[in-house]
Amino acid sequence: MSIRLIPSLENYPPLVARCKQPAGQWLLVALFTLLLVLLSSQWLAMAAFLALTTAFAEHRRIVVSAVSVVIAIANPNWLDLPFLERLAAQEGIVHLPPVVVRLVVAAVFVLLAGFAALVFRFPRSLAARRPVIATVSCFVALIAAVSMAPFTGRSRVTVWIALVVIARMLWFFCYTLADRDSRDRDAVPKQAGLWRPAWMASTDSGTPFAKGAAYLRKIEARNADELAITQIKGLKLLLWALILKLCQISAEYVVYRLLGIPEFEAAFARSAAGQPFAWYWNCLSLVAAFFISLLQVSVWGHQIIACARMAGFRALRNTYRPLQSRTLAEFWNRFYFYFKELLVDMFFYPTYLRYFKKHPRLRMAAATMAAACAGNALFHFLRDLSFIAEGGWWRAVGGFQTYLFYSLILGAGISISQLRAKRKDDPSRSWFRRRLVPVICVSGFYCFLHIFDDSNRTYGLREHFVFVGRLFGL
Amino acid sequence: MDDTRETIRRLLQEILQKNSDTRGFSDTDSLILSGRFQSLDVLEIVTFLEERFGVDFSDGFDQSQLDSVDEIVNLLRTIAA
Repeated sequence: MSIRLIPSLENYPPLVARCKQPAGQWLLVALFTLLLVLLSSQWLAMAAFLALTTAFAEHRRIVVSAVSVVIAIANPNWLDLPFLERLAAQEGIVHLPPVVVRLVVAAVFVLLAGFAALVFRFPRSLAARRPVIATVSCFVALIAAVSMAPFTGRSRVTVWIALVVIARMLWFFCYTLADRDSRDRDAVPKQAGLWRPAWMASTDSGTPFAKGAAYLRKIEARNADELAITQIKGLKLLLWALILKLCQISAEYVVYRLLGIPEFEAAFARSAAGQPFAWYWNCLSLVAAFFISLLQVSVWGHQIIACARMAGFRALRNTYRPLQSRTLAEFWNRFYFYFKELLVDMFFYPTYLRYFKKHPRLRMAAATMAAACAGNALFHFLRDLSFIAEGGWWRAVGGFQTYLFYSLILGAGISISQLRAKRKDDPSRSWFRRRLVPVICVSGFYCFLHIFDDSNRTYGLREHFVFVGRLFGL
Repeated sequence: MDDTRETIRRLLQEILQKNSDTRGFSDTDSLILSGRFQSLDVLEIVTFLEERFGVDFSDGFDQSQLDSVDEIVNLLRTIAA
C-alpha cells in the first residue's frame, strides 16, 4: 500500500457528483486557474480556453481546435522570438512587428491545412503512404532552399519566421497525416488547432503532448462521470506540479546556495576553460543537475497534461516515477512519455513492421536505433533552426556532434538493454538484486549521459570528454 | 473464434504478469490507452499476431485495434473476412 500525499479524490462518489454539476465544473476551473497563476505566465489564455471548453463541452474538440489556433496566432511566445529578433536586426529591422509574426503563423496554418487536405484527397500519394518521410523531406528541402536563396531584408525574415513556425508544428502535423486512414478521421479544420494545442501555450517545445487527433478522440471523456473524474485528476496533477516546483526550488537552494555545489553549466565552463573544480565538485554538480532536471521535466509536463485533463482528455502523465525504472527503455518511457511515444510512432514501429522480419534481434535493434538515435537526433536538429540560419549548414551539423553522440549512446544502450531484458520477476533473487541494483544502474547510466545531453552546441565533443576525465580527477 | 479469444486473453495476461500487473481485466477493458501496456508490450502482441496468425502490419496499425481482447479478435475477424 502506498502513501498518498494528495488523496484519491476521484474515488469519492459525492465529490464526483458535485463536480458533474455546472457549479462544480466552474469551481474546478476557478481552482485550477488559481493554481495555474502560481506556475504559468500563460494562465489567462489557459483560463479562457478552459472556460470555453467547459461552456461548450458538447463541441469540445471543435472548441479545442478553434481556440488553440487563436491562442497560437495571438500569443506566439512558443516561437524562438529572440532568434527572430536577432535575424530582423541583421536585416536592418530594429523592431520586429508582432503583427508580422502573427500573420506568418496564420499563413502557415493555412498552408499546412492545404497540404493535409491534399494528402487526405489523394490517399495513394507518397505523402499519404509515408507521411513522416514525405513531410520531413519537404521540410528539409525547404530549409535548404531558403538558406541558399538570395533572400534579404523583410523577405528573408518572413521566410525564416515561417520555417520556425513549421518546425514547431512539424511533429504535431505528422500525427494528422498519420490519421489519414482512420474510419472516424476528423476533418482538417478540426485538426488544425492540434498542430499547436492550447495546453502547450506556455512552452516552446515541439513534442506533441497528448499526441494527435486520433489519440484525443480515444481519450476524450465520454460522459459527465468521466469528465468530472478527469477534471479532478487534472486539478490534482496541477497541485502535484506545484508541490514538485516547491521541492525543486528548495533543492536548488540547498544544493547550490547552502552546500555550495557548483551548477553544472559553471562546472562545465570551468572545465572547458582549463580551470576545473576538484573532481568531487564536478561529480556532485552532475548528480545534482540530473536530479533537478528530473524535477523540472516533471513540473513542466504535469502542468501541460493537467491542462489537457481539465479540457476533458484522459491523457497519461508525461513523467511517472522515473527513478523506479529497472531498464533503460522503461526509464525513457517513464521520464518523457510523449517524446518517446513520438519516436515510437514515427520511427520505431515503421522500422520494426517493415524490416528484418526474419531476424528478431536485428529487427528490434534496428527499430530502436531508428527511434532513439536517428529520430531523436533529427527531432533536435530540425528544432533549432537558428544554428542553420546564423551559422550555415556546415557549422550547424558540426556543432551537432555532441548531441549526435548522445543519441548514438542512448540508442545503443536501449538496444542492448532490450536484447538482454529478462522482464520476468525472478523471485529467487534478493530484493537488492531484483529491485535496487537495476534502479541504481539505470539512474547511473542516464546521469552519466546527462553530460552529453547538450543541444546548445556551445562546446564540442572533445570538451565533453575532457569533462568526463575531470570526474575521475584526470 | 473462442479458441482465438482464449489465446489472445492468455497472451495479454502473460504480458501483464511480466509487468507485475496483477489486476484483472475483462474482454473490453482498455490496456494500451489506459497505460497498462507500454510500447514494448504492444510490440509483443504485434509479433505474436504476425507469427501465429500471419497478420501483416507493414502498412502500420492503429493502437486502438490492439487495445483490448475484443479489439484484437475483431481485427483478426476483419482480416480473415
